[in-house]
Amino acid sequence: MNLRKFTACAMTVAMTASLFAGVSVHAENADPEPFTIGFPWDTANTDPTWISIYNNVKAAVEAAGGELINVVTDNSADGLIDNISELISRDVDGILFMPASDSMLPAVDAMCADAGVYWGTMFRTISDEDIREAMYESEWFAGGCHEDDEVCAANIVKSMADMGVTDLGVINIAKGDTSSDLRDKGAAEGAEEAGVNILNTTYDISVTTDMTKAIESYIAAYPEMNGILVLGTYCEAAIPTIEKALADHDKAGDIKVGRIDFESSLGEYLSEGTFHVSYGGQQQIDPLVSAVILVNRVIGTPIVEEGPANIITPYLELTSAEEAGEFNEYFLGDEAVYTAEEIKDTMIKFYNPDIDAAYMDELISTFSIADVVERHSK
Amino acid sequence: MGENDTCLFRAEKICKSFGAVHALSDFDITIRAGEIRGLVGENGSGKSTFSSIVAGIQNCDSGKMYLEGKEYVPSGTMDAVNRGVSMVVQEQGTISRISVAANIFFGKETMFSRYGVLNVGKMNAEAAKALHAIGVDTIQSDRMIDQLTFEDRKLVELARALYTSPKIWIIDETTTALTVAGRELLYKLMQRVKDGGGAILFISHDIDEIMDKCDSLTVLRDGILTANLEKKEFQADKIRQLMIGRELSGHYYREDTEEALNPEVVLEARDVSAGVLSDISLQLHRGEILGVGGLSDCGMHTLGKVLFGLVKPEEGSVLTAGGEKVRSSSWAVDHGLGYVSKNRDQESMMMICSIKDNICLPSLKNIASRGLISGKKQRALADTWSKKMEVKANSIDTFCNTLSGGNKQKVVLAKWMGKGSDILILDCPTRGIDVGTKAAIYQLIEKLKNEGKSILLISEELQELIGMSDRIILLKDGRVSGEFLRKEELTEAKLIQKMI
Amino acid sequence: MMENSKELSLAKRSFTKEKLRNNFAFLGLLLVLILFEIATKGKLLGQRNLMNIFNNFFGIALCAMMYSFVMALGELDLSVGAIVGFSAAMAAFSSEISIFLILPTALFTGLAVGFLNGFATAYLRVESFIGTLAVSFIFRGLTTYFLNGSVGIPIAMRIFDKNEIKIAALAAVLIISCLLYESCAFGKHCRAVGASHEAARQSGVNVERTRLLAFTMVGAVCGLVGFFTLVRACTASSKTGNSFEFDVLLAVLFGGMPLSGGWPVKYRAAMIGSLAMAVLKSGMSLMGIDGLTQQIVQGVILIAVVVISFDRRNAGVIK
Repeated sequence: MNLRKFTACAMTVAMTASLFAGVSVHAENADPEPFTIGFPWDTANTDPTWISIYNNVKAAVEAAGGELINVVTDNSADGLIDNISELISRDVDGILFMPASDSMLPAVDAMCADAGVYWGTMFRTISDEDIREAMYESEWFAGGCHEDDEVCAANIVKSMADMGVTDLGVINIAKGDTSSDLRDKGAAEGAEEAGVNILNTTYDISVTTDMTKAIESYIAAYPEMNGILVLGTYCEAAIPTIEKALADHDKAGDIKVGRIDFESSLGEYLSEGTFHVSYGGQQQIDPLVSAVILVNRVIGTPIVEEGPANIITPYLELTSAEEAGEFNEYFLGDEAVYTAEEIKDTMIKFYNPDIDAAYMDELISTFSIADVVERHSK
Repeated sequence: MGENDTCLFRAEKICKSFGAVHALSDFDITIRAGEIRGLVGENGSGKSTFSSIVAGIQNCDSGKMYLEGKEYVPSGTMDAVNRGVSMVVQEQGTISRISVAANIFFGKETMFSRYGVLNVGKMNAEAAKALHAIGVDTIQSDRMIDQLTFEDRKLVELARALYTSPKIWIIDETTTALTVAGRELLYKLMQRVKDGGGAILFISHDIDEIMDKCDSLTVLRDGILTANLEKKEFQADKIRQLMIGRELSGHYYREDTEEALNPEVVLEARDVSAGVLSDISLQLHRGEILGVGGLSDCGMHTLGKVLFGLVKPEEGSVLTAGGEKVRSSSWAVDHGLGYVSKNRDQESMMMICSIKDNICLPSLKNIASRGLISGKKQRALADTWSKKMEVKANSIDTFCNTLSGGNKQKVVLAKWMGKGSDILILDCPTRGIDVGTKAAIYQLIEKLKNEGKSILLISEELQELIGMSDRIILLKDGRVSGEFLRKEELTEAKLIQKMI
Repeated sequence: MMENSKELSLAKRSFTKEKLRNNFAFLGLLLVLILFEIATKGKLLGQRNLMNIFNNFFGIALCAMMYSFVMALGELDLSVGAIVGFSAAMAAFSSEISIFLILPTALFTGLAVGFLNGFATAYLRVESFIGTLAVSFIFRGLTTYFLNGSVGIPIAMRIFDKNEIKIAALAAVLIISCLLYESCAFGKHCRAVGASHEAARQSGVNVERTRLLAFTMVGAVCGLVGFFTLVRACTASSKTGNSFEFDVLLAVLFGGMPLSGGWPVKYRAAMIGSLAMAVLKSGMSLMGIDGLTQQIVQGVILIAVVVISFDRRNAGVIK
């Protein structure tokens, strides 16, 4: 058939053309060599938090003159593996991602080692001891940031107990996710300590209708419930959905609502008195610093000489509408929590040889909502 | 022609082409008020094309139509209905998955709605009235149309067509789908329209029916008007000749009369009960044409399906020559049975599919070597049998939905010829088929008999049963009510006695 | 004869239409290729990116080839993603006993769930759309329940994530499914059942067994996809095979397979569609198009393809 012959010809021509695609070469001394960082991220998600994560990573990469290459991902283990393989084929120098599980990491490391590409993680630690040991020995693992999920979860439960919560309904990310498991553990510890009864936990809610159903079934099944705690979720507009469900059942305000990780709508509900406490605020600093760790490693000036750099980002507490407003403006805006210029001056070892792990820890310990407001309000 | 006051409808020089083919060329017709006008012709002669133009389903390429002296250009079927032209078609014309009432008032729902809300109760009541008006009280207007039998659905269509009191009523080969009682009803309704000053355009393959019911007759051949006949000029042979354009022997059934039965039984039903059928026993012998007749709802169609393994008997069993039980239709096909359904388009053939694939379907396993089927072998098989059956088509790759009814039936038969089945169960094989193909099918049946194959011929046409069968079994309310051997003196009257 | 030539012209017209419809997907693939090749300045078909296209293509094509049979039946299987996930999970568990059990467990699990789909559709007369959706829920739930997170397998199993092995597997499935579809009674029976299950039954086709087999085969191949997914990531999680059912469905629809089933379902549509999907995804990714725009583009293309390849002859025709 003619058509097929034609396709064959067209393909041949196209492939030949691609062979001649040129490669440009740069060389400079005042700045690091140009580099690229691959970043699998779900850019189809329009949640302000997800967009801000992308913006913060971008700022960190551009601070050292690098280019960020995004591939769309579903953040599942096998999806990420495909994304990483694609990024490797596109010649990136480093890859930053949010691991879906510990058990996927050996595969990632094997792929990156084969290709000579550095990799770094964000938001997650490695719980599995064997895997952690193996990964820490890899020269290609740059390290990353994570939060102390366990402590954070324990504290928010206690904080809710102080507000008078005795019976708690819980929402969490999918089981098997490292953060999810740690937060579960922390919540259980906090609950035991504070004498709170955890009624039930629902996992892996990704759409608002399921969130509504989960809350409604809690209300129906547990009349004694006086607190709802979202330990984590990938559901968009989680708090507005929960608030709507509670309002529909005349429970808004009666049931205390708490959440780990901030989201943009918290201020409104805090001022109405129907939302009560949120721990979080690392969603911007964590990817930013994770990217900084990877970038430093890629340009040849690692923060830690031996092994991966691991930095724990402290959580912030949000209990007033005013703070929430500031959070929305300065954390979820278009600007990163540290601008590219600020990162270049304070976090890139190429420009500032004094940087080491202790320096980073100290820098981050000064990070707060007020700090960002002070630096960026003009 | 002038403004004759009895002239209700006139068409002048109607032309319609499909590509290079002229389905109608310069066709003229004048229909008078108060007449039943027959329209006959072979399949593909342009009858249905013309009726669909009048009913507003398609437009003509050129030519003019006048209704009651005014120019008539229907913009669609609804427009035609509103201007007094209704049509009942040969194939199923009802819409599935909605109620009887919704079918009757399809497109006229606004009659029963207020502020956009449909008053279903009112519509059902009105539908019941419409059904009552045509003398049908057995169909509930709120039932889903799919729960009705094919015949009852036709009655619903009649009610729909007559609700608007049409001036011109087009009946396109509807009678074949109706039971005897249904037909009587249709004739009565035709008379009513006629008495009311309307006219009927009656399309049928049944020449006896045409001669009996029509006041005048128009014959079409290959899209060209061949003759206009008045009632006094009606003669069956002459009409057939005009339709086909050549002489056709008066009797196209078998000519031999008596014959001894081969004692070998190839298919046997033992005390079979299924649905309406109760306690049926019959034997089909080698080389025999066994006719099965009765009223449409007597269970003879079910009997065919039971014998072929499509319907599991509730009691009793169906056995082949070796005493083996017929388990399923696929088992039956493997053991030399073939079946042609009354509902050809729905059950016997794949419409969106080529002639080749239809013919090869039952024979795939036979032409496979080591499980693989070559395209060449398929083409060879399909070519051989479509040629032998004289299927008129461009090639064996032609899709079956573009074929005429007669050609479709030839393809279905070719399928079983190609398989080489020894026992054929034919349920109304000549239903809705033109005279030429009918004759070909009768010849085929006779030829198969002479080759030693056995045929079970289920038919609603008594003439056909008498003409073709070695033995006739009549059913009444699901039981065998009579058995006749082939004899010259056998008449329809004798058979009817056993049927009702 | 008049009648003859009328049929002839009708046949001719439907033949040209058919031709257009058949080649539409092919033209689409060509268009997508050229468009992205220009837009990415030749990177699309660069050696490195060809690997990405292959990786995108592999799983979808593997499943799509067997999916042709289900599409030919005029049925849908919305459980393929769940089967991939479940068989990967079961295989991961089996690796704790012996790594040699991984492949057989994956295949057998897939086959068993496929059998369940087929049984429900063929013998319990459950609409496949509903039945497989239910099966999908059940096995997604079971996967999450059993895994309780994620389970890893020895990293050494990555040796199976090699292009040579994948190409061999693809070729094997391609040959088997293509022969079954084009040259065996089974493939033709599937299409016959899709065209008119009553006509197929009355022509001696064992309709139930045909349906059962088709779904079982899809299940088995999903087991194979599960195996390759597992050895690639060396981990099975509750999200493994997530939305795979839509990728496969999109691919076969992109290829121009009609949902109505029957003879217009062409085998090559599975290959063309999978390739078009892989090229489209890779091309958009190379161009740095964000996820939201990618979804919109996919949606628009899907509607366009379905509109163009929809067979109007299946809509009620008044004579």
